[in-house]
Amino acid sequence: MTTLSRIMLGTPRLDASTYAVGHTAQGSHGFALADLANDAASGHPSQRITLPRTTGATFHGWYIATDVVRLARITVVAAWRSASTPWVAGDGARVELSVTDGTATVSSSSSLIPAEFRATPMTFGPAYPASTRVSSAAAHSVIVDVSALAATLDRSVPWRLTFVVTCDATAACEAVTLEELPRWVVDDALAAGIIPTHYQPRAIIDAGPQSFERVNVTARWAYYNTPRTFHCGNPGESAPYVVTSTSYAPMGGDTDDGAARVWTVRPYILRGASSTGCRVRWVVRYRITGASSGDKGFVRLTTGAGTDTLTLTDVSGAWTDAAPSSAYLSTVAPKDTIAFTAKVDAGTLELSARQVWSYPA
Amino acid sequence: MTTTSGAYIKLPYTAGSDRLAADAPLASSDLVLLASNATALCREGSLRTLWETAGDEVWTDCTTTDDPTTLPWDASGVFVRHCGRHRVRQFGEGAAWPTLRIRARGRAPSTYTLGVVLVVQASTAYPDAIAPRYCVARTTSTTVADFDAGLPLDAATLGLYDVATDDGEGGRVSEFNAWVGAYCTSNSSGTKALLSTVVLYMESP
Repeated sequence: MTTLSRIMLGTPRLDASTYAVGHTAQGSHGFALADLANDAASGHPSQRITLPRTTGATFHGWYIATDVVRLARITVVAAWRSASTPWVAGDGARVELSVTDGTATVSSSSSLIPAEFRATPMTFGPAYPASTRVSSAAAHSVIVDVSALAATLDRSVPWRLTFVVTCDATAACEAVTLEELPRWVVDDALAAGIIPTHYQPRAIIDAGPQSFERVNVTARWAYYNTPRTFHCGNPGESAPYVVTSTSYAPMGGDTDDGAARVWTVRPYILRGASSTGCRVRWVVRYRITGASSGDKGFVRLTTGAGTDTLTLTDVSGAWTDAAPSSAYLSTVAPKDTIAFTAKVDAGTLELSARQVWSYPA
Repeated sequence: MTTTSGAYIKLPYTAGSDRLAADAPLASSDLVLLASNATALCREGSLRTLWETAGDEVWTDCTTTDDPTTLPWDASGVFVRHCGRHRVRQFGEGAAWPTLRIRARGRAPSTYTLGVVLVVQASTAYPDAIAPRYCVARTTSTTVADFDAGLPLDAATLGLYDVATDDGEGGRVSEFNAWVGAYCTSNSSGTKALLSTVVLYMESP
């Protein structure tokens, strides 16, 4: 294992002419190419979980863990609940965090969870002095070592994060944002990463593991393993999207003027313009109540590339994660739209969370 | 000179077909493709969908009608959300920052306007809609339709956040905070606009 710091994150500029036939190969060429591949693999992680404004509820979001991306930042924005209910000193918002891979769980009492988000979480307060909701908003950020969670959780499956948000009577949680952070260290023992200083002026280019082959491994890893979150729909368990229709219909809580809400996304445009240019995975957390064994629920995702359906089979009435399914976004334009409809054989289908992320083919 | 074709072109990687394997002749074309691929990945990596929210009914106007710099952020009848704190990097191998695009869906009452203001700031403070920190998207459509606006990011709108870990890895990221506020020029609770969805994402500069 060799590591090297990337103190200043940057994307090297390499003109196509740099490697033109007839040009003299230089040590800097390999160095820059290695640094460029490293930046692609670890400099632009793009997953996020965003929660809506709330005065208290339980939310969920999914995360794809790798051994390259290590850190994430969780930001909680707390504010006065409203001008009509003046803030009481000490009131604030709290977020209790736990993570599961569906088999193992890192509970909120674990030392792997930052102290601010453990059982009996820290109270994030609004700014003071202030006199209104908007003027009182204050952001609090905490770094999370997501790679440490891999000691307990399986990286080969999506992790589901549970955020239990509670607020005191005169406070609200305006926003919770989890986003990945870039790496400031390259480690060639990981799935991606090549040490640029292997390419020194006048040094022999080693045809071994640190050759240009590793550069392609790193760039290829960046293509397949840096998922980006396109949609994070989080109504929460206390106000889920609801459907009772036995034919596909917009879900209650996700409609406007009787039609399913339409959400814009910016696809991952790396394979050129195509009606099926960006493969995605999507998942929901659901429960079906009032149904019998054998009944099912169905959620349909509609994009510019077509439709995909999740079949939901658990009718126990407990909140359950569906198995992720694959679909496509269209890359014919720089943006696409998604919408969700659903139906259920019997009873009531509720969704507390849904998420769509890239899954390059 | 061009730095990338803009698309990821898959290079063979399996044994026997990997042109970059040990002892294989190194062709300049393969290095050109490697550089192009990695640059395209960095460009795309700079752009992402950041945040989305469902909307609500809106009926309150700006203090000066249809002037987003006078949006009454704490009034009833406006729709206001904090979009979160997001880190950002310059677009690909260039020096320019991405453009923030706010894309809304909604409808306005007949003869009136539904406006959605995006304010970007380095810190989470009262939204100050002054240039170059804000943009506004408007619609007069009486049926739910898309409308959007873009806001080029620049250093004046960005803050810095330092990351440090116990084992010494750490660095600095650029970031911004954003507020979204929606208003309706009817200024009457009997004549409401409907804001359906709002999405915030980055696009190329």
